Amino acid sequence: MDQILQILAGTTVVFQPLSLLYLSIGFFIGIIFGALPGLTSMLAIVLLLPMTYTMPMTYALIMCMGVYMSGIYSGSITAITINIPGAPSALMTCLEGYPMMRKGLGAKAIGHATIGSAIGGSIGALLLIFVSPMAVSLALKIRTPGKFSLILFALVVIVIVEKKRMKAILTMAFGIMLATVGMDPLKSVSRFTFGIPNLIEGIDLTTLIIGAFAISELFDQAMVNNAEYKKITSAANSVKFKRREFFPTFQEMKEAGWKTYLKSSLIGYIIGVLPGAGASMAAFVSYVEAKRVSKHPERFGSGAVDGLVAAETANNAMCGGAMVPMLSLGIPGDGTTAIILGVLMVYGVVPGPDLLVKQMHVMAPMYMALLISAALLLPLSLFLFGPYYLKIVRINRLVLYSSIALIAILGVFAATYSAFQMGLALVIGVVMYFFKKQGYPNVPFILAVILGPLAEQYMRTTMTISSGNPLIFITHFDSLFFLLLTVAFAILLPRANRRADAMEKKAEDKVKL
Amino acid sequence: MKTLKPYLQAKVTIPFFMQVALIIYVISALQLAPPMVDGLLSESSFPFLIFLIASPAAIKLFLDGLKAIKKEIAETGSVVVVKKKKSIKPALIVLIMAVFILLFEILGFTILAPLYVFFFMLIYDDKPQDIVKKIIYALLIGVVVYVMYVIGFDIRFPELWR
Repeated sequence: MDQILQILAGTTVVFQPLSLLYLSIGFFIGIIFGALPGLTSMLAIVLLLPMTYTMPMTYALIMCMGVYMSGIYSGSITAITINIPGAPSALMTCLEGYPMMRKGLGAKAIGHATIGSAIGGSIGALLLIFVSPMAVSLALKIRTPGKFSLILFALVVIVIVEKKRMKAILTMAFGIMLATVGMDPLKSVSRFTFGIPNLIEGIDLTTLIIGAFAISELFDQAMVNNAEYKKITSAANSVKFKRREFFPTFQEMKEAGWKTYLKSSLIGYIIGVLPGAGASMAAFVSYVEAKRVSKHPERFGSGAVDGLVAAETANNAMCGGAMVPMLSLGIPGDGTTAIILGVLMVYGVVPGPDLLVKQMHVMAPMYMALLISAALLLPLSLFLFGPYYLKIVRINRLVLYSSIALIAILGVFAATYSAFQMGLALVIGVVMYFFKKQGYPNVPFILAVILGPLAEQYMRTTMTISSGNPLIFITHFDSLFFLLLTVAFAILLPRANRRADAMEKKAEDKVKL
Repeated sequence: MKTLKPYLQAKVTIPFFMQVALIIYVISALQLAPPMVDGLLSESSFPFLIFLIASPAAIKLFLDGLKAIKKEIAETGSVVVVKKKKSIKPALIVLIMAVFILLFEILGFTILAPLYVFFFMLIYDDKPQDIVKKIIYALLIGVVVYVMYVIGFDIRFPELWR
C-alpha cells in the first residue's frame, strides 16, 4: 500500500513543467521514430542514451517512457496508410488496417488503433503500478542461486522465442564475449584485453548498444534507394484525413468488443513480463486469439476492426508488462527495456527488489509517465496531431540518417570521451550488420550484454558459497523453481512457436502482397 | 581452390569466424586459469561455459551453410549465383566513420562534423545532386547537434584550437 502511495506521489513530479517538457519531447521523438519505416523506438532510446548522462535520472526515465509508449503506437500509422509497418510490432496491424484504408476507412483505422493503444497502454501501466509491489515481495525471496537460475531461465526463453534459435545462441554468445572483456567481476584480473591497455576498462555499454543498433542500421539504410523510398512514401503524403474522421463511433467500438480490449491488454501485459518476447509477439498472440473467438473470423484479413484493435491494444499493454521483470528482477522484458536498463546502469542504479523498496520515489515518476503517455495518445493523436502524423514520412531521409550518423558516433564519445571506444562501436556495428543480413536476431545480443555479466557473477558467487558444490542450485527452492520452469519452457515453447511461426509467415506473405 | 569460392558466403563464413572467435576466446581464458581452481570457479569458467554452449550452434550453422550451398550447386550447376543487391555504400560508410574517428581528436568537431554529415548525405542519395542544399543542411545539422550536446548537455568536444 505504501508503495502504491509513493507511486501516486510520483504524479506530482511528472506534472512539473520540466517533466512534462521531457515527456513531450520523448513522446514526439517516439512518434517520429515509430512512424518511419526502418526506425524504431528502441533506436530512439539508443540515441538518447548518451544524452541522458548529464540529465537528472528522473527526467531521463520520463523521456524514455514517452518514447517507448508512443514509438510502439506510431508503428501503426504507416502500417495502415501504406502497408509498411513503421515498427515490427505493427505487422499484424497491416493485415486489417491497410484493407480498411483501401475501403476509404484509413482515418477510422488510425482512430481505432489510437484508442486500442491508449486503452492497452493504460491498462498495462496500471497493472505495472499495482502488480509490481507483489513482484517485489516475490523477488525479495530470491537468493543468489535463484538469481542465477532466473537469469538462466531468461536467457533460455530469449533463445526459444526467437525463430532462428541457433543464430540467437551465436548472437547471444557474441554479446557475452564482448561484455566479458575487461576486469573480472570478482578478481583483479583483466580478461580478453590481448595486451591492449584501452580494453582493461572493458567495452562501454553505450559503445555496445550504439554499435549494435544504431551504426549497423546506418549500413542497412545505405542500401535503400532514395527515389524508391520517396515513391512509396508519396502514397502516404497524398492521403488527407479530416480531424473528425478519426473518431470511431461508440457503436463501432462496441463492435470491436470490450472483451477484446480487456483480453488483449492482459495478453500483452503477460507476454511483456516474459523475457525477450516483445511487442511483436504480444500483437500476434492477441490477434490470433481475437480471430479464434470472433463471430466472423472470415472478415479477418480484409479489414476486421477487432483484429486491428487486438493487435494494437496488446502491443502497447506489453510496455507495462516488460517493465515488471526489468525493475523487480533486473531482467528486461524486451530490447527496449534492456536499453532503459542501460540508462539506469549509467546512473549506477541496479534494478531489483531493493531498488523498488528503497528508491521507489525515484521510480514512481517513471511509472506515472508510462501511464500518462498512454493516456496522452488519445487527446494528442485524435484531437490535435492525427492528421499531421502522415506528414512524418515526408521528413527528408538524407537529413534524418546523416543526423543519426552524427548523433550516434558523438554519443559514444559523449559517454566515454574515447576515440578508441568510437572505433569499437564502428567494428561492432560492422559485425552486427553482417549478422543482421544473415537473419541473426539482435535482441539476444543486447540482453546477453546486460544479463551475461550478472549470470557470471551469480554463478561464481553461488559456487563460492557452496564451496564448489553445484547441488546448491537444486537444493534451494527458488533456484529449483526457475530451473524447472526453464525445462518446462524449453519443452513447451518450441511447440507453441512452430504453430505461431506458420501463421505469422502467412501474415508476412499477405503484407508483402 | 576452384571449388572453394562458392563456399565463401556469409552463411558459412559467419559461423566459421564465430567458431574461430570462440576458440580464441576460450584459449585466452584458459591461459589465465583452469575453469576450476581449488574446487571453485575461476575467471575462465564462464567463458569456458559459453564456448561449450555456443560452439555446437556455430558448428551446426556452419554445416547447414555448407549443406545449403552444396544443394544449390547441385540444383543450379556448378556455380552459385548470388543475386543479392551489391553496393559499395556500406564500405564507404565504414571509411567515412573510420576517418572521422581517426581525425576527431586532432581536427575537432567544428571542422569534421559538417564534412561528415555532408558525405553521409551524398552516400544516402542515389547520385551526387543538390550539392549546395546538402552543404547548407550539413552546416545546419552541425550547429543543431553542437548546441544540443555542448550547450544542452555540457559535453566538451575536441577542437583544433583547444
